Amino acid sequence: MSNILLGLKYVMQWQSLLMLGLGVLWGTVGGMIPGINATIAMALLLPFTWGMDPVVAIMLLAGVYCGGEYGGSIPAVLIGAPGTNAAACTVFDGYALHRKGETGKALYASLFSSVYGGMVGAVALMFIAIPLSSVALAFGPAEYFALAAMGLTLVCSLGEDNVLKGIWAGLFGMLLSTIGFDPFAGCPRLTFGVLSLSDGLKMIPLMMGLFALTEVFHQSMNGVSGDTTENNKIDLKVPGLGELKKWLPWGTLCACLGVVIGAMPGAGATVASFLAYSFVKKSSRDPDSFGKGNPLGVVAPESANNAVTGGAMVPLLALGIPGSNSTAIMLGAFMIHNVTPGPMLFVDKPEIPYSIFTTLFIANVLMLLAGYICIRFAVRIANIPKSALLAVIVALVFTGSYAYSGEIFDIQVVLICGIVGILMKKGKLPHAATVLGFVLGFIMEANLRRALIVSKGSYMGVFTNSKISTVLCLIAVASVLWSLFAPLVRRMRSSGR
Amino acid sequence: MFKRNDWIFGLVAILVGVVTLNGIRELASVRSMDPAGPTVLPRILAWGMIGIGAVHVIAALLLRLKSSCSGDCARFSLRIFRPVALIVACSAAFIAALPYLGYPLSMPLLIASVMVIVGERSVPRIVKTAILTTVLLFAIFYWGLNVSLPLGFLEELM
Repeated sequence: MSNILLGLKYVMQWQSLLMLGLGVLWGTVGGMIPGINATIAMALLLPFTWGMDPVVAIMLLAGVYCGGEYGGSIPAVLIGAPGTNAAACTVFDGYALHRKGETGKALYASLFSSVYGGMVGAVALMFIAIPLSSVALAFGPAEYFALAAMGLTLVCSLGEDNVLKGIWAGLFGMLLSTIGFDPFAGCPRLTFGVLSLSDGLKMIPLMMGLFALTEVFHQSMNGVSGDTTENNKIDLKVPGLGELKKWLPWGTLCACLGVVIGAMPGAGATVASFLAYSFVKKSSRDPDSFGKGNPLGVVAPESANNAVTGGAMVPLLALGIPGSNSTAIMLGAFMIHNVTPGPMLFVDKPEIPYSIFTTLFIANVLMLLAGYICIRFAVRIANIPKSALLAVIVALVFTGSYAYSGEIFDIQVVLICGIVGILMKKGKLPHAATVLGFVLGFIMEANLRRALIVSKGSYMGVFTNSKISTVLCLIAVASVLWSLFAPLVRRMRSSGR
Repeated sequence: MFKRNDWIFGLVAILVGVVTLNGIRELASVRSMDPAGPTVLPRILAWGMIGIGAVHVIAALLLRLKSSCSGDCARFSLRIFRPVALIVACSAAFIAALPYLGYPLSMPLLIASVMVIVGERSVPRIVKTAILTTVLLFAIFYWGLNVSLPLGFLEELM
């Protein structure tokens, strides 16, 4: 408790609060811009932290980290283009709610659940950082593989009336993740002689193409009927207490999931948001409403991906291992200021870890204000004439993907992914499953192959050597079987009646 | 679950699988530090895709043999893809022109052409949107975020 008070003493100074507020605002704005995620927003600020006090510098970056994870959800709701990878899942129901005229519900569901998830993550970090780090260490390659396999079973339920199409789209996404240099053999794979493919496909252009450009193509095919968007006056009503109460249990569960996933090095916010979405959809009494504008489809991924911020600090602070790109930037900031993270940090310089704990909590309170400002500003985008909006989306996704890598090749990838996306939409193939396959494909393959090295080539050993991986694999298999046979069971039941 | 037109998806699915199998053929002899090697996952995925494709082709053919038309056989017209084809053509022209014309000149042209394709007819609105969006994006990315956007021939003038 005394250490937490020590942390509070450092945070509750006007310079610290000002830096934290600026960090949250910059992170939120950065997250809103396609191509600039939390990591890039942090990296852009890193040089400015040079002369700062170490605690203030870390607080600034922690604020950017929190804001960046949230900011991506605003364009996901308003234009169907996620600002960050982790917000990809928010598009499914957030954009559907916006199109139904319930923009306020979607935007505030995202804001409140992000804030709540972030706070749960911060509290978890305060009290269970050390025990959670031992859980994270219990996860080896076989467990990561099984976890990714479990997450991938979501593709089965994304195929609407045709499960096989969902699975195919997921396999296609995994196939796209195998393009480029093989991480173990070091040889180019499926590049077909195209040099720019050697590095593999990047997530940002793929997502921009499959989500944003596909939507532009779809809208252009439907014709621009009105002068402005279908929602001339955007409803920005804040959801009532009754609704918030309904979301709370799901938000809490998904935030806890986010903390655990965040604590595992390499998993990250995108995996957490997809797993949370999958979990809520499968547990819901009305799974068919997901993807059509169910607010829980926004609450689940947003609370999970913001809770990751707390979880991701666990391996960094307790073990000195950065589990994600953003925490790697944070490690860079530690090194600039001659701070060595690890167990001894809690003994030698307790003010740093404990001020990070309190910073994360306060950053989420400030995010309420930053989010409110950004929402008020961003809804104006949705009010511009539809023809202009579509053209602006094209300009934004092309510029954003170029900015991400500085290569014109990535604009070509966006365009090709847009064409593939519209063909998939016409063929009723869920491109969300392709994105999920792409995210989890790399994690699955890399960890399966690592696990095979450990088990000396025994595939059965990968699944049976650890209880965690056995249980996760069994859940994954049961989930696939249920998705395949549940429609048959339902049909048999209804014909029996 | 299956539709009469699913044979198109089935054939595409098989084609993707076959292209993948062909693409990894040369990698079979590559030695890797792990027992699986670089081809195992793509091969499993390719066969999975071919299998799903084959199921759809067979199911669609059976549906066609069983009944004449069950409601999902509305004529498919390529004309609906006209705006998509035009936007793709303009985007391809933008990508080709970007290194030479530079971002400040090629982006307004792209924005204007997309607006015309989607049905905008007000010239002042097209000009205003094209210029304002380009200036705003250029300011954010070039000056604000230090992204070196291509300037084309303007680079020599600046």
